[in-house]
Parts: sequence; C-alpha cells; structure tokens
Amino acid sequence: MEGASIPEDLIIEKILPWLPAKSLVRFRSVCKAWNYEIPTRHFIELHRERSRPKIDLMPWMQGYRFVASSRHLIVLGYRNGYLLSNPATKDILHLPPASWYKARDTYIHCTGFGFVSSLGKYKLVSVSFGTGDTCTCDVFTVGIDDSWRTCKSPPFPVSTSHSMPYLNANLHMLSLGSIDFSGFKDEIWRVLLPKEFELREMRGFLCFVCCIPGRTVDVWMMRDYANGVWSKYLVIDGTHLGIKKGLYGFPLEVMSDGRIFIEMDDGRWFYFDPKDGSFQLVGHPGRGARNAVYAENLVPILGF
Amino acid sequence: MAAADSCDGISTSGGGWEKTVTLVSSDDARFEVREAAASLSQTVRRMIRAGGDGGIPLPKVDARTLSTVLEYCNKHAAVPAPAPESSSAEAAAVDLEWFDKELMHVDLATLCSLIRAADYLEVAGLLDLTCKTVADMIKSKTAEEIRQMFGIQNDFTPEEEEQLSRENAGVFE
Repeated sequence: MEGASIPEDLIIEKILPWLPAKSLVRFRSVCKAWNYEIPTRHFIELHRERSRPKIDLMPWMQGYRFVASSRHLIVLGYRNGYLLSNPATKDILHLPPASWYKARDTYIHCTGFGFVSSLGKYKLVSVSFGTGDTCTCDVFTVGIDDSWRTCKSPPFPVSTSHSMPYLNANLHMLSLGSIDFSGFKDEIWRVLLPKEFELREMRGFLCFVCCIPGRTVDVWMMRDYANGVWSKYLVIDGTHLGIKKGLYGFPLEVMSDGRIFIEMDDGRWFYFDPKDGSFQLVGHPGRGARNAVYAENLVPILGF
Repeated sequence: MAAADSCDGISTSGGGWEKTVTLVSSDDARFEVREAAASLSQTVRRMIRAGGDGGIPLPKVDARTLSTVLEYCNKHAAVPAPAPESSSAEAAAVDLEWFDKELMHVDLATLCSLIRAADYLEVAGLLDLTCKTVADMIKSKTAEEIRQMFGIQNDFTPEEEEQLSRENAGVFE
C-alpha cells in the first residue's frame, strides 16, 4: 500500500517520541515539519519522558573521573572542576573551576545535579567539606551562571559518601545525623542500622537501599512522594550471590525487562531477576570501574 | 442514573452480573461489551455518562478495527487491580505482556488504523502500545523509506537537504 495513513500530528506527537535519539536526528531530513518539530523543547520533553535508562560502562579517560549521572546527563570530574556530557548528542561542556579547587583545606566534595524543568536548565550543587567540619555549598546553573555561586550550607551534616539523586525538582542527600539510630544495651552503644546504605533513583522513584553485608539488600521506595511515604519495594537475598562476609552491593536501576542491575563492592556486576530470584553475572571489571545510568535524550546541555 | 440509559443488556460473567453497553461501528456492526471494558476508552466513558439509547455510535472506527480495540479492552479490563508484589500480579503482568505482543502481529496499515482508533477513542494503553510498535518498525529506516511508508512529500530543496545532512553528520558518527 502506498503510504500508511496517519495524520501528521499523530506521527510527530505519538510515534516519534518513542524513537532512539539517533533515528530522530536522521529523520529531521524527512520533511520540513519534522525538521522543525524534533528540536523543539516540547518534542524533546516528550521524548525524554519515554526514554528508558540503560547502563553504560564509563570509558576510562586520562585525567577524568566519573562523578555522577542522571537519566539526563553524565558529569565527569577533572582537576579543575566538572565536565558535562550528553552522549546522545555528543554535547560537551567544561564548567569554570569550582571554589573547592582554590580552597586548599577542602578535602572532600560531592555533587548532585538535575534538569530543573521550571527553568529549562541544568543545575549542579557541589558540597565541599573543609577541615574542622566546615561545609560550603556551591551552585551552578548551566547556561545562566558564569561562575559558581556560594549558597547556604545544608542545615545538617551531609553524608559525603552517598549519591544525591535529583528528582521531583528536589535534590536528595543523606544526613548523617538522622540515620544514626543506636542501641544501648549492657552499657555498650551499638549502631542498629545496617552499615551500608545508599540513596538511589530507580524507576523514577526515590529509593533508600539498606544492605547487610553478606546477607540481604532491602530497597525502600518513596512511591507517594507528596506525602513522603516509604514502602518496601524489594528484598534481595544476597546469600545466593556467594558473597564473602563483609561484601555488599547496591542496585543501580530496574531495566525495562524488570531485571535489576546490581553493583557489588568487589567490582562484580549482576542482574537480579525478581520473578524467580535468580542472579546472573554480567561482568567482573574490578573495583574502580564505574557505571553510568543514562537515558538517551536530546536535551541541549545549555538548556532551552 | 444516567449510565442506565445506554445500558442495553446485562450479562453474567464469573458468577456476577455485569453491565454491558453496545457500541456501533462506522459500518453499522454492533458490539456488546462489558461496561468496565468499554470504559477503558475515555471517549466511550463520556458517552455512557451522557446517556442515550440505541447503542453508542463510533463513526470513525470500522468493525474490523473496533473488534481489535475491544479485544484489547476486554483483556486489560479483566485484570483485577493488582495486589502489588504478589506472585499472581506478576503472572498476570507476564500474561498481559504476551497478549499485547500477539495483538501487535499485524501489518503497518492495520497498526495505523489502530493508532487512529486508539487516539479517537482515547485508549491510552493501546495508543502507547501501537505507537511503540510502529517506532520499533521504523527506527532503522532511512529518511526516504520513512517518506514512502507514510506518504510524506520531501519538501526540501536539494541545497537544504545537503546542508541538513552536513549539520547532522557532526552530531552523530
């Protein structure tokens, strides 16, 4: 048959947003209407909503280290600061040096970032810690700011070793103060919470992962974000992983087929299938290899 | 109760009484469906609320397409509200996935009719399913193949076309 008949707006609004970014760039040359619509913010947001995250092994690059990734963007760190990359569009941007670069007594810093829909821009937050528990918080809005702006530090001791998922227009970080539940028994204090925990974004929800090394991984999910209600999403019996005592692992993301990608701290990667509780070894790249969770998108790094 | 006006019959299913409605296709075929299934279409749901008798006319959907749409609605409406994380909910989800996959084993022309129908009837799940299927079919095609598939006129001048391919060559390898 010559030409399947679907109205043009249905093709553009309903079919094209399901396509991979690569196909979309090619299809801009189909006709003028497609060439006009595909780079619009409206279309790019439609496409972003449908794009499913995948997991990429970050290639090792001299002088750079992987800092964080979101569904939208990958952030690399280098000596002077940050480098942003959108692998789908091959967009790259170097940010000006952050304040912690100059501060000699700064010993640790961590980064959270996300796409702020209301602004149409990416925003990065860098929290750095100096000696004597001083904490500085710097913000950079990509495409607006020329340099980092120092803003109010968080009113609680931020945990430096955990990731900061950005979703629902909020940056989430773990406070050390609020999770130190301790037990006092026989005149000895002990920490009741599992030692290993992490914040994650999975399936678009904020998740709190607790791991009892060598035993279980529990995932709590905040399905009801408005009311702040956590519910248990998953329990993974880690004894099947044959993990040695003391080893732990965190799930990274739920794949489109329902399997869950897990990173162990000894550098092994697994797929866990919640349907039958089975594990499958994906690879053993060793410690230090980093995975980026990233969903292909056409969002320009400088924003809209 | 407005809903009762368009309610043409009552059938039994699974031991309980269920309300049904009659839908009339563009070629005057009549389909009696459970109201719960028909209500997956927001368009039909509104028409049920508005009332009227003699069946609900759907002048933009032919009998062949409507029967496929209703096959989808019947299957998806039959699934009870899943008790999250239970094994039966898991099994039902797998079953639905299989059903959807089988339903999409049709040619492009049929898919296009289904997309138009799902859009007009506002069956969100079916619209996503059919559009995703078409996207999968076309993702590896060239621009020219796309034009042929959808009967789109190439309205670029050769110069514009050349410039566009130069621009895009830089973005992707």
